[in-house]
Amino acid sequence: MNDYKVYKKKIFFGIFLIIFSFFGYLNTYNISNRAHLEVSAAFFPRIIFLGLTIFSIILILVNYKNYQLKKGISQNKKCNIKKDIHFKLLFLSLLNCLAYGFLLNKIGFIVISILFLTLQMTIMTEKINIKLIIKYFCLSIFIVGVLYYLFTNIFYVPLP
Amino acid sequence: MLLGGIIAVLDFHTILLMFLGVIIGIIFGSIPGMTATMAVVLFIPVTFSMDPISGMAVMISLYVGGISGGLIPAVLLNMPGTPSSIASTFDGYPLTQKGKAGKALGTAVVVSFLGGVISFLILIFASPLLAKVALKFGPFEYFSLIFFALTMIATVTRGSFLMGIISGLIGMSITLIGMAPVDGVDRFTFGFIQLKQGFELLPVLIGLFAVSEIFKEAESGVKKEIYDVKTVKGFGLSFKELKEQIFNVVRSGVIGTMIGILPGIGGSTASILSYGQAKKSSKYPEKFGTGIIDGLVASEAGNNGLTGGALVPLLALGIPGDSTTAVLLGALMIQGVQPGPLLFKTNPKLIYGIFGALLIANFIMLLVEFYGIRIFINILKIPKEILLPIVFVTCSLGAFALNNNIFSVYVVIAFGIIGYLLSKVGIQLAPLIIGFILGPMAESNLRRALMSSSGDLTPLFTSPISLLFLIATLISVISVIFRQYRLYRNTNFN
Repeated sequence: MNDYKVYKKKIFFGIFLIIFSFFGYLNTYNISNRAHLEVSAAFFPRIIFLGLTIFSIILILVNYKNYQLKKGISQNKKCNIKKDIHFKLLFLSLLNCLAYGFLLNKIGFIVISILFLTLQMTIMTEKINIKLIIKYFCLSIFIVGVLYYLFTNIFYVPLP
Repeated sequence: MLLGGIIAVLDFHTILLMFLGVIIGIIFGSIPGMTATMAVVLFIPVTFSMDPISGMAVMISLYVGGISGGLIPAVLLNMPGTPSSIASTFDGYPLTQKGKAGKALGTAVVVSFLGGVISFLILIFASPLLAKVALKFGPFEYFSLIFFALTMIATVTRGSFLMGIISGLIGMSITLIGMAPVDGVDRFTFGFIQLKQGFELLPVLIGLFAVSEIFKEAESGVKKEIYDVKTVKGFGLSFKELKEQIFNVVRSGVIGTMIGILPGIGGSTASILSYGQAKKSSKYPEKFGTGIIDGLVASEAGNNGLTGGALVPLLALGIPGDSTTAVLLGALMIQGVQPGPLLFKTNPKLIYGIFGALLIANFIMLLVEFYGIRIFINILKIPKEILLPIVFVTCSLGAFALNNNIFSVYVVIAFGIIGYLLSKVGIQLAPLIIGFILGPMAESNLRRALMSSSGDLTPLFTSPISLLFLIATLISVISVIFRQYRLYRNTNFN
C-alpha cells in the first residue's frame, strides 16, 4: 500500500479515537459517586480518555505532516503496488464466525460445529470439489466428536 | 529435611499420578481458554482420598504442566495458550516462521525447567524472609510497581512508539467497562447486565490473538505455507547457546519468582517484565520480536519462575499469590491443613514435601515435553484451511468453559474482529494486552492508595520500595526517549 494511504488511514483513526474519547469522557459524568469517596470511579477513566485524546492529536499531526510530504511524491511516481485482498473470503469467514456465535446456543454444539467447520474449511480452500467437501464433512464429524468427548467426559464442561 | 520431602513424594503411585498431572496440565495449558487453574480445580476431588503430600504433589504437577503448556500454541501458532505465555509469542512464532519451530520449542522447554528450578531454589532458601518483604507492599508500592511494569509498553512496541502508547491506552479503556474496582460502581455498561463483570482476560486474549488470525488469513487468501519442520535432535539447543543465555535465564527466573511472591500480579506480568528487561539489557534490542531465542528464554523462564514464587506467600503466610494458588489453598484446607507461618514448625514434612514436589514436577515436565516436542511440531504439517477453523472452535469452547456462559463466545468473536481492524491501522496487540492486564491493577491500587492517604500523593515518594520503582520507571522512560531519539537521528541522517 502507498505510504500516503497509510498516513491517511492513521489520520482517520486518530479522528475516530478523539470522538470515542470525547463520548467516553462525557459518559464519566454519569458515573455515580454514591460512596462519596475522595477519588471517585470516574477519576481513572477521565485520565485514560484525556491521554487517548492527547496522543490521538499527536498521531494526527505527525501523520498529516508525513501525508503532505509523501502525497506529492506518491502521486508523481504513480505507484501501482496493490496488495491482494480477498474481500469475498474475508466477508464469508466473518459471516460464518458470527453465525457460529449466534447459533451455538440455539442449534447446539454438535450440529453447528460440524456445519461451521465444513463451511469454513471449504471457504478457505483454493480449489473446491465435491470429494473435498465430503472429506471436510467427515473430518468435521470426527473433530467435533473428539472435542465433545474431551469437554464433556474429561473436563466435565456441559456444552450447549 | 528437603531430602525427606523429596523421598516422601518418590512413591510409585504418587509419581505416576504426577506424570498424569503434568500431561493433563500441558493439555489444559495448550488449549487457548483452558487454564492451569481449571486443571487444578478439576482434580481437587481426586485428591480428597490421598494423603496431603501426594494430593499436593498432583496439584503442583498440574500447575507446572498448565503454566508450561501455554508455550506450545504460542510458539507454533502465535496464540498464547495461557495469559502467562503472551510474551512467548513475540519471538517464539517468528522463530517458527523461520523454520526453527523445533529449536524454539526445545529452548522454551529447557528454560521453563530452569526457571522452575530457580524459583524452587529461592523457595527453599528464602520463603519466610521474602514473605515478610511482600507484606510491606501496600497500595502505593503496588501502584509504583505496576507503573514501572507499564513502561514495558514502550519496550515491547516495535516501530512507532506513539502507536504503542495508543494501543496500551485502548487496552486500558476496554477494562473501564463493568464494575469499578474498590466501590463497585457501574461504568459504561449502558444497561447490559453481561457487561457488569467487564471483559475477562482470556476471551479477550483469544479473540485478539487467535480469532483475528483467521480473518487475516482469509483476507490474504489462505496460502499453502510450508514450514521447514526438521527432525528435532535433543532439545534443538546447543550447550553453547544455553551457556550464552544463562544470565538471561537466571534474571528472568528471579523476576518471575519475585512477581509470583506478590499476590495478584500474575504470570502474564512476570513474562512481560522478564521480556522487557531482557530487551533493555540486550546488545541487540532491535532484533527482539524478529525471532531470536533471547526473548523466548526471558518469557518462559519468567513465567515458570512464577510457580515457586506464588507458593511463598501461600505457605509462609496463607495468602495465595495467584488464582491457581488460591485453589491450592482451598485444597490444603480441605485436607485439614492451615497454611501460614506456623506450618513451618508444625508440619515441616508437608512443607518440604511440597518443595520436593515442585522440583520433581519440573523434571517430569522436562521429560514429557522433551518427547512431546516431536509430536507437537506436527501441528505445523496440518494445512491452515483445516487448522484455523479447528482452532476457532476450540477457542470458542475454551471461552465457554470459563464460566459456562455463551457471552464469552460473543466476546471472543467481537475481539477477533476488533483485533483484525486494529491490525489494519497498524496497532500492535502486545501493548494493548499489557494495558488490559495492568490497567485495572493500576486503578485499584491508585484509588486505594489515595483513599488511605486522603488524596495525598507524598507516600509514593517517601516509601523506599515505592521510590525504588519510581526511579526505575524514570530510568526506563529516559532510556526509551534516548533510544527513540537515536533512532530518529539515524533515520534522518542516513
